[in-house]
Amino acid sequence: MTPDAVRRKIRVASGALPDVSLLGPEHSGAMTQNTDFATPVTPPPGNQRPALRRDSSDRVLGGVASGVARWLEIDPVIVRVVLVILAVFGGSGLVLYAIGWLFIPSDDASATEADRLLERVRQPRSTARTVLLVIGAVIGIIILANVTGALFGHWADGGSFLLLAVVAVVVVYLLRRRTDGVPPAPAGTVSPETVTPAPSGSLAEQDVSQLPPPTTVAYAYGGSGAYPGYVAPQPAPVPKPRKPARPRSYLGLATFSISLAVVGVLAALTITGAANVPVVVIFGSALAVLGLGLLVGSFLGRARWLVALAIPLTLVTALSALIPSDFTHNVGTSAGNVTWHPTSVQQASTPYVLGVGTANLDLTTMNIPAATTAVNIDATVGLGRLQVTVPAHMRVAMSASVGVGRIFIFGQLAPGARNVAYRVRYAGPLPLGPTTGPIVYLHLRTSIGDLEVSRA
Amino acid sequence: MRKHPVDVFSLVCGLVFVAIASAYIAGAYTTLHIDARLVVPALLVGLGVAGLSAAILAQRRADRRIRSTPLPQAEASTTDDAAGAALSETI
Repeated sequence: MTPDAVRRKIRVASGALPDVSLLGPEHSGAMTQNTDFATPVTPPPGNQRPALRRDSSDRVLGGVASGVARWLEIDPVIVRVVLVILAVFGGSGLVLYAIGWLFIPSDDASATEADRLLERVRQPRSTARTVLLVIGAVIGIIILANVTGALFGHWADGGSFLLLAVVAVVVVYLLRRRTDGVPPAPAGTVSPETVTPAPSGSLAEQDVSQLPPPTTVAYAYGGSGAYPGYVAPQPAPVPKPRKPARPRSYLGLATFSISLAVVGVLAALTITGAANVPVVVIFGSALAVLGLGLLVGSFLGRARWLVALAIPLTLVTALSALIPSDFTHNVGTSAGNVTWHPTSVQQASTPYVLGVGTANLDLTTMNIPAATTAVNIDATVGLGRLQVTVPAHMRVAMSASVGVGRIFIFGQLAPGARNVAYRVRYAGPLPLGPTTGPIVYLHLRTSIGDLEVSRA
Repeated sequence: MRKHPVDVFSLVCGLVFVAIASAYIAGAYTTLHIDARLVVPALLVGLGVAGLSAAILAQRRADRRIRSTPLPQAEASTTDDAAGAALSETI
């Protein structure tokens, strides 16, 4: 007998059925509010509404439509058509159907699918739990991929799906692999009090009516062999007690807590100004703590689930490393779109700083005395764009750097700068322009944003 | 906490994460520059190595166990389905 067949049989035998035959459409069912399945449904007198149950005898998918139709005492075709229309236009039909399937019990089962699903999710090693976790991980990764996609254009397109697949495999692996110990007792295991001893013998042949009414809606197959209302005959060879069940390890929880505290302390130090800890160091420290927890867990205790936490944290750390160290400082200075028009060398010698916005540094109106040999001009933008316009006849030399962004020099992308580059430096050939005259040294910087130098 | 045989998966993953974290922390205070685009491939390789080595080790342990114990017993409690099959034989 296949395990599935056993399960099915046991589901039936465990007394899950208050009387299927009493629920036919020709009978008016119990009170509609009767959701206490422990008491068998009795055929009520009069023309009361039948119970809201999914109809297992007349079903296309899960019997929701026919069940609802029976409850409403209308033709199931009407309900189906409505559901299909709702599903096609906007998809709410699908959602409604799913809700119905989850929360309306079938007429051949005592518990709703939602109850069963919950019961299975509670079991530590159940497939349902794994699926739930994988879905969670996938959603998390999709969100992360969307966030990172802006900055990692090239690999985020194809790479994130690869990453997603790998993460899913890792999660499944973490959750499924526990074959070298005794599987832990599922949460749904029936306590001894609720188990009513049944006469031994072939369960299949027992009259269902002789079984006690169901006392629990536990759905505890898949792990322990304990089923409500059923005590398995003692297996002939009692397997030798294998390794004792692994004690629960709190290493993961401890590690996670420490990493949280580390982030908190470092952030507090930075915010109060007691120490200047770059963001990347804050996240990196948390990641290091998780990694150390895993290392401890490879010898003592168990903390594998930290991997699922450390993967997104690695991406966050990598992202935070792109934030230039001067970003926070520069951004805080000012905001707006400005144009700087220095008319004299003295005026241009004060460093120009803009926090957020677009800055235009226009050097076309700057007067340079003939005796001058060199002029130094310093301009910084925290977040935004820095555009520098130099007159056609000016000799310029420059050192330009961007944290995240691009550098354009006279219409050309600076060497080494990719589509979206970071930490780009450009030290142009000295000097650009005419061979004689004073040299204007440009010291340009944007923390995040493009930087452009062009001739007027 | 209980001592147990070395868990290779945790070990390799821990090493990978500690390495990435140290590289980034070091990068913040030195001139060491880490190409962020290489972090993801490195992560994938690390996880792959961790999973593979753990799988190989687990397979070896399982093989050893099967060789050292009688077969039906070894099968009886390894997986849920095997437990179900064992149950079906008792019914």
